[in-house]
Amino acid sequence: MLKLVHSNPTPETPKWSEATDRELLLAMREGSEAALAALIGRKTKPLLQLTQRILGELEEARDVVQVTFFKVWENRAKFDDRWSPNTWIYRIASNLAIDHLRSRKSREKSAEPVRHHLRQVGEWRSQKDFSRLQQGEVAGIFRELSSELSEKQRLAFLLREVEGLSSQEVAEILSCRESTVRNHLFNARKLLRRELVKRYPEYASRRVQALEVEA
Amino acid sequence: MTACPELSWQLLLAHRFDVRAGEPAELGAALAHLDACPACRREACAIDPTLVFKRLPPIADLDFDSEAERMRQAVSGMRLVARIEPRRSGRARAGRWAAAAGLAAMALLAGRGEPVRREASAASAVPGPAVPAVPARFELPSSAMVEEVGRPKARVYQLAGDRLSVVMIVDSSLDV
Repeated sequence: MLKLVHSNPTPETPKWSEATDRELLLAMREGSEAALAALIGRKTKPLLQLTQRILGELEEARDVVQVTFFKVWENRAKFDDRWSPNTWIYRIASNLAIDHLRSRKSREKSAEPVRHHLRQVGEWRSQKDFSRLQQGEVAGIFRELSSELSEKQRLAFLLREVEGLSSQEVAEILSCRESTVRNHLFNARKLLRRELVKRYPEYASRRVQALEVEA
Repeated sequence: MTACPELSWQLLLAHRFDVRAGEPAELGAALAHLDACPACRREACAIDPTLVFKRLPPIADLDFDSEAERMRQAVSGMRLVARIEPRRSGRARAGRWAAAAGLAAMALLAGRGEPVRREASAASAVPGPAVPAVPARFELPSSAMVEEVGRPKARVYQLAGDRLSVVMIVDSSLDV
């Protein structure tokens, strides 16, 4: 008769839903696959959103997020509990997304169909200003214009302006100084504003157009 | 709707196009106010149209629970592939072989169903790895065995017979 002669006593399973990110990472460092599963449940949405915004394609974002979780697991022993878990995970995801961008040379992708569509949207909108754009239109414009940004500019802009991280957190993710982050942000805003006014003059206020002419 | 900030948007947003300027302390609350106030949003976007990207939409129509499940399966698959791929690290490979050798030795010992008397064995004269003596009435030292092969999560099954004992060590992370 087959009998079970040894089994590790089931460890007391923490309520992972209540654990902090740091506790999950520390448990993963001890080999807890349940903690990894919980972390995936918690971080899939924000990471998918971030990488989708960086890459512009959901399928590619999925690939990057999968590899991110795999790398988090493979490198769990390297996680230093003095670090911010979010920053560490975002840094891995951001680096992977940038590598992905470089590999597919996204700048060469034509954005013309998006621009054409948005021009049509603009034509039948009676009152034209940027604040009235629908979310889908905003996403289309960002996809188009952000391809003009460098990877670091795009990442700094997304993390700071869209995700709402602090400059310090962005600096840690990009492995640079806060002053460099400010520079990236400044250049990203400047370029985006210039391109918005150039490509969508019907939306830009006279004030902004005048500023761009001055510049 | 929250009250509109008293500072002008022109002043609040001036820093955004001046790399040397710092952010005003009121900016966070003012930007949070933008979402709820179309008039202020219009005013602010007229000064800095890049503010419109603060409204980048979340990914629509995605079931994040099933996305997470897909991620778990994908990551599990990647981990499996990484385990069965040739190891780059010689140390890791050595560890796996040691675990395999340990398991094999334990299984062989357990299969004999009789004690090993090392002092009577000719092989005992040859220096080698210490082999634990098995008591006359064989009882599987399961916990010690599992600890010894470095697989604390393994489950050990025994199919005991008079002359033969089959031991199975089940560990999902072991891919020897």
